[in-house]
Amino acid sequence: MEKIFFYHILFVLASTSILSCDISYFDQEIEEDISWKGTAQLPVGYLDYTLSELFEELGSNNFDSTSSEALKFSYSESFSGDDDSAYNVKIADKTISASISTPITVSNLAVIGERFPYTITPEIGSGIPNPLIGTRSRNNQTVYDLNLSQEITRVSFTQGKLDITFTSSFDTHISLLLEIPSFTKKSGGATYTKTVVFDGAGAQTVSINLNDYHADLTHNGNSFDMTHNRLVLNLNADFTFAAGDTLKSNDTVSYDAVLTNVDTSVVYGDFKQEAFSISDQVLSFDFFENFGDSDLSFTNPVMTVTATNDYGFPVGVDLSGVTSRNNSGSLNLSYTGDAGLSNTFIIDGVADFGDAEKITSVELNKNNSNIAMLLEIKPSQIDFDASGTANPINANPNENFYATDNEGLEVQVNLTFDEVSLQKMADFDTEDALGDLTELLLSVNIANKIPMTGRLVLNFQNSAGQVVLTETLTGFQAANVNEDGASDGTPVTSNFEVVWDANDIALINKTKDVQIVLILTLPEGEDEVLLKGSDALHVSIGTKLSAEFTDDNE
Amino acid sequence: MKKNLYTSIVLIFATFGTSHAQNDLSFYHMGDYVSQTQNLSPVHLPKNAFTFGVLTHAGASANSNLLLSDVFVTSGNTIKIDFDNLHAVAQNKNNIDAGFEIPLWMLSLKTKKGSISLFANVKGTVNWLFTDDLTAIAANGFAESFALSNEKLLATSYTEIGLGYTHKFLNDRLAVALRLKSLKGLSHAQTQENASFSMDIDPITSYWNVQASNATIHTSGLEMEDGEMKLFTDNNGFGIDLGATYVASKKLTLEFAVNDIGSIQWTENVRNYQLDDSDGKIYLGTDLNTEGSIEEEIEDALNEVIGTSETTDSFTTKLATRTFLSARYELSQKNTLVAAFFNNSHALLDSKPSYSIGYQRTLQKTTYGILARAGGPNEKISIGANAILRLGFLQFYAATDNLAGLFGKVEEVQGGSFRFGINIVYGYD
Repeated sequence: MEKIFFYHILFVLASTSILSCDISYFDQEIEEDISWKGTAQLPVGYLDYTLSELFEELGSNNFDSTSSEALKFSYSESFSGDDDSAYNVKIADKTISASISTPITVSNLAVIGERFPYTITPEIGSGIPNPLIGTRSRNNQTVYDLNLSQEITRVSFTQGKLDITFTSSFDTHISLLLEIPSFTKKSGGATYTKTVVFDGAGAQTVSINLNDYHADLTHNGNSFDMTHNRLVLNLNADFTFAAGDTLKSNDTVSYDAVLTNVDTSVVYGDFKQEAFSISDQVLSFDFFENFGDSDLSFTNPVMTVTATNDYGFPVGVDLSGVTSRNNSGSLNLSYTGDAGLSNTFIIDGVADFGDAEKITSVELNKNNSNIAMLLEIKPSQIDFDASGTANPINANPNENFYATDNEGLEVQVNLTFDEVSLQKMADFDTEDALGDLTELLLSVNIANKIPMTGRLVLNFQNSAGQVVLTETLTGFQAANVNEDGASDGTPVTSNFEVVWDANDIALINKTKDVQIVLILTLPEGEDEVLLKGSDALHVSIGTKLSAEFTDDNE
Repeated sequence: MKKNLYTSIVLIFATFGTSHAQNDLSFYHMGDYVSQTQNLSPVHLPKNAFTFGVLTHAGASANSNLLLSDVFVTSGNTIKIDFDNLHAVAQNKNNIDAGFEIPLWMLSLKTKKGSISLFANVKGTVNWLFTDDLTAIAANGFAESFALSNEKLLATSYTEIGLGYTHKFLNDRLAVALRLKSLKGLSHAQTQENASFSMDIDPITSYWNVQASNATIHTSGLEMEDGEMKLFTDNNGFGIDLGATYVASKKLTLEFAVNDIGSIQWTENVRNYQLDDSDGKIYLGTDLNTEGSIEEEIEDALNEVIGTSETTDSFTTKLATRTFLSARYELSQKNTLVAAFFNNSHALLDSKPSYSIGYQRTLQKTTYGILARAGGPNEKISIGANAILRLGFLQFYAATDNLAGLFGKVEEVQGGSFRFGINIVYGYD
């Protein structure tokens, strides 16, 4: 009986053990929300672009798959002084005439009771010597205005003659001394003088080879540095009257100084603010039209203007005539200017004749000019229609010179920039699709056949247009180029990663637009490449993400 | 709804966990004292003339190398599914096996040379073998390459109606039994043999190199009509159980049984979900420069690489065949030593044999036993017990392979089996 009871108990224990098992584990609250946290790596996708397709996206249809065009980040052009004839002052043929009349006047004859004509007698009375016998002198000074186109102070002749013909109607011995203080001998520096003797009426000619002389045109008859363009001739005549000489009232001794065939090696003077003509030039920027309607900007745009000037005067170039043109309009260059002269680039002149040429350089950048804006309108060309003036700062007087062997003014313009940036706005609304992500890594692999290096900047903007997150991406390396500057066709692979943590993702979820900035640079060591419409870019995007999903919708 | 589903999952695991037995070896040790052991040992030499049972038996088993607490982890005062912890404790190969068997009715008549029985059962099993590669994905996602080649799922349920016959030969020393069973498949899901799927992920480009072979899941009957599962379907099959015992000596009896040899052809509500075979297709993502829908592009691109198809072609599956070998040594009239071997074989099962040795004591109204079991998926030793109590024409019985689990904490139990039932018995010797 006891055994039966025992077995009954054993059976009941066994059969009811399912109910007696300790299931208190499930007395705890069961978390209803199922959550999962993990990572995944998956390819997002790829983009294949040819350059022509890329430009088509940017709004340009001019660069098709068969197109090829050179792109450079450095443009050079030169222009020069166009016409410097205004400074090349010519001295025209001139005749300078002067005369000295007889020093014996009517009153002199009246004293001895004579009148013209009169032949000098030894005595006017017995034993009374004739008082007219003897030496008398007369002078003549001619300050001749050469009437030159500029206010010339000095010249150095290379050719020309001054033929001076003296003519005397006197029946008298005359000694003429001609001094031209304006002329100094190149060798020795002596002032030109010449003595001509007449023993009766006649004519004599003296010829001066001007190649041997400098001229100082500042003599006003009294001293130098008083005027300009003036040629001074001083004539002194010594008359020696003797018995037998016949005196006429109209006796004169005169000269005609004929200046012919003059040329100079250098002229000095004050050229005032004479206009200076500069040749027009055009820089062609056809390629930039291919950037369509995207916003374009340039990193560190610099226009360097370097002038080589051997003129003996400074030149002020007004750069406001530099005009950037595109299909829809134009924009003139604006420059703060040198020495307070707006838009003016002052080119130094050579201080002294014979000195080396003067080189002046100016750098126009975004700080002192609107050069960046000139480029940002995507010009098809930039016209250099600059004008100039001499002596932009008027010293009054200005000490200038012009040499006939001047090389003139050469201006070299170099327009450079380091990078081209294309900006495009794109709608971007995640619709909170990234809300469950705690980390997002994008791995980007680019195979590039375009001979340009590129970087990307993504500016994520909220609905108010504020940039909430900026991401700068390494981008892609340029394809190698062949001897023509074109891509060698072998893709160059670049990889970079973007890592966004939970904070970044939260910011991205607020984004409504993203500004995509593509910054292009030339391959290292290249200053020009040949882009082809068929150059291709393959972008492959993969992602590695960490996410935490919680099913809490119930 | 979600809460109910979640709770149901937990309760299913809890139920299996509280079953606390394994491989039915304890039930097998009970031998002919309980007619339902025919489902394990076809040779049925009943101790009583007549046995009848209707829906009075239930048996379930479950085992896993994982604990409930490995999946449902306590966090503060709550428990939640924790894939990280699951992966941390997962082994190279992991299993979740569960099964149930409900004899709908059973009629057994003792004959002069043996017995004749009619029976109807509902059976179901779930065998899921998964690797730590899968738990790694569950825990960490798929940020790195992975290969799934040992993930196997076999889940099936069916009804069987059969006739069993046992006859003794050689002066009753040899008993041979045959059970013929007509099968009706209720539901089925299984991975195809040698199914594999791998994905190499390029760490730089993130490209997927997808390889798939036989990556197919065959299902049938998972869609219930009007929300009810039919017991009789057009998923027909046939099975047999074979068994024999041989009385080697007065005290020693040897037995072998092979159950569930057969197959079912699944034709109802068939859905075969298949990934296209691939020896290395590359998924690059989608062309982002599309004017169409990115979602559609991604779908198209994925389909290009990981092509999927769904067919309704019928398919045939073999039953998982269970083999028992045993020896019973009668120490005395009331005391018997039993040693048994069990194995479950199917192409999709990573079976490991189980062994047991036990002691059965038989009294006038009761039979009870105790056994030690080893081997099986978990390769752990457990102590089981069984007991039969006869009260008049009623017979009560219960068996388990894991006594310790009966009284342990549910979250710390790795499994077991439990059977109990009531029979109407008549005519004991």
